[in-house]
Amino acid sequence: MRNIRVIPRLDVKGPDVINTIQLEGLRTVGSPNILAKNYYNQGADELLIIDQVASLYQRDHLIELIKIFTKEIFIPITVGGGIKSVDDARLILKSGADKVAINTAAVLEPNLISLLAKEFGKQCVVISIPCKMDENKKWEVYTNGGRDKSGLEVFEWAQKVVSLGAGELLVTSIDKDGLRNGFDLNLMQKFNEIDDTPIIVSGGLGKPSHINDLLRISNCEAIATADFLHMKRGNIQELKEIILKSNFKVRL
Amino acid sequence: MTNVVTIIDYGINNIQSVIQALQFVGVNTKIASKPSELADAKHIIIPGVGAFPEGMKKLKNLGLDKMIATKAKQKSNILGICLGMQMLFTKGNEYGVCNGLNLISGEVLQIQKKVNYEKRLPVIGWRKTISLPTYEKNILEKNLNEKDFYYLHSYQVIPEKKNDIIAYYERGGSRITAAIASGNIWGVQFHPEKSGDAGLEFLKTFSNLNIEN
Repeated sequence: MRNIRVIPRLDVKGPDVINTIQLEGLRTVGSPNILAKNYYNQGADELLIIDQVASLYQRDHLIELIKIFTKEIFIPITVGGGIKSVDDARLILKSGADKVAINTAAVLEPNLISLLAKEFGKQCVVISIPCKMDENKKWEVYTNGGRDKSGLEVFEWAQKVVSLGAGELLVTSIDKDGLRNGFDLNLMQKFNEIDDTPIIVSGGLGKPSHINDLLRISNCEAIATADFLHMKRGNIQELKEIILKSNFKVRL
Repeated sequence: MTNVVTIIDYGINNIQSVIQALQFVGVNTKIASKPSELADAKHIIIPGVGAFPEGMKKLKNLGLDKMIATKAKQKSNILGICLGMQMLFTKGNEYGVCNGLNLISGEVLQIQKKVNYEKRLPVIGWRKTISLPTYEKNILEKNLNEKDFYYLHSYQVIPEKKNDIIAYYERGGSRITAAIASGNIWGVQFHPEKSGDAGLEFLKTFSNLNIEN
């Protein structure tokens, strides 16, 4: 069977990592350096860093952070939050990130996806899709860290970003984020329609067995988790064991 | 042992992670972006992420293609990583046919998209890598066999001589070449600089090959 990656997600706000519920920042859970190093040592397969205050003034801090990470952490690092242009992406990649995650800028200017894929290769381009179900039971794409509606229907948007050159999709269920009651299985089942691009699932992991529930219905290739690790509800090895028990492969 | 590994900087991507990984395991590094900077190099790494024609164009523009060929003849140990490995071959087929460095006979082809349960490209993630232990050239074997490495690619190398393949991984039941060797020329499809301890050990071993020379 296929390989599944476990990816700790660090939502960084200034000097801190914060925990989120439904993508709203809640509390400080630690320092990015210490948590990142700790997860690397625990056997994280990649790291996902999302800058929550992606204003120009905060950029220097993020760049410094990436530079520090790459001195001691030898796994791939994806960085997202406020990347608006090819130049923004170049700066992030040059600092040592391996991939960039784009959400708002891609919605505003879909052609940016093609430009990024052409400039850096599609393997560098992760499109982040925060999803929330609307009152008509349709999933809508949100932007600006899950705060704003985009009016876009999730699956049409996903097809479109894939055709434009997205190398990977990061699918976050806003409805489930931080609630610890499992992944959004209906959403992820629907995402099986996109079968040619790797998908990272985020939002809802509360206990290891939720992974088993997810893998039974989803064709995803990776699981991103924040709260579960930050609040020390378990560790990465426990998650990998449950993946193995579900008859998938992991890096041990 | 203090050895120096020269990393080729042809402006296509971030070479910092390769430098950081080598320094982390105590290897001294040098950067070469013009031919003269390769003059004394005994160990050379060609890193790379991106598309084949763009990579070759940049190497040529800097005059590095000919210098790499010269160093290959002078028996320097040359290691290509990912695109750096693919460019060691005769030709690539990404965005049209493009000549490579031709240090190893063979070509680079897109991976077949759907093979059994595997449908997704690029290949992203960790794969258990199996070395071919019967192969005498494979002095990196213990650093390869049964190790998980990080891969990120849509194209694969197809060597003309099958025994240039020293390691593979499985995708949907078929074999994808993970590492090649031909004399002093080495190549890995995975990213050792992003493969945790297994990758660091691999880089360390490469850096110390034939160090007495």
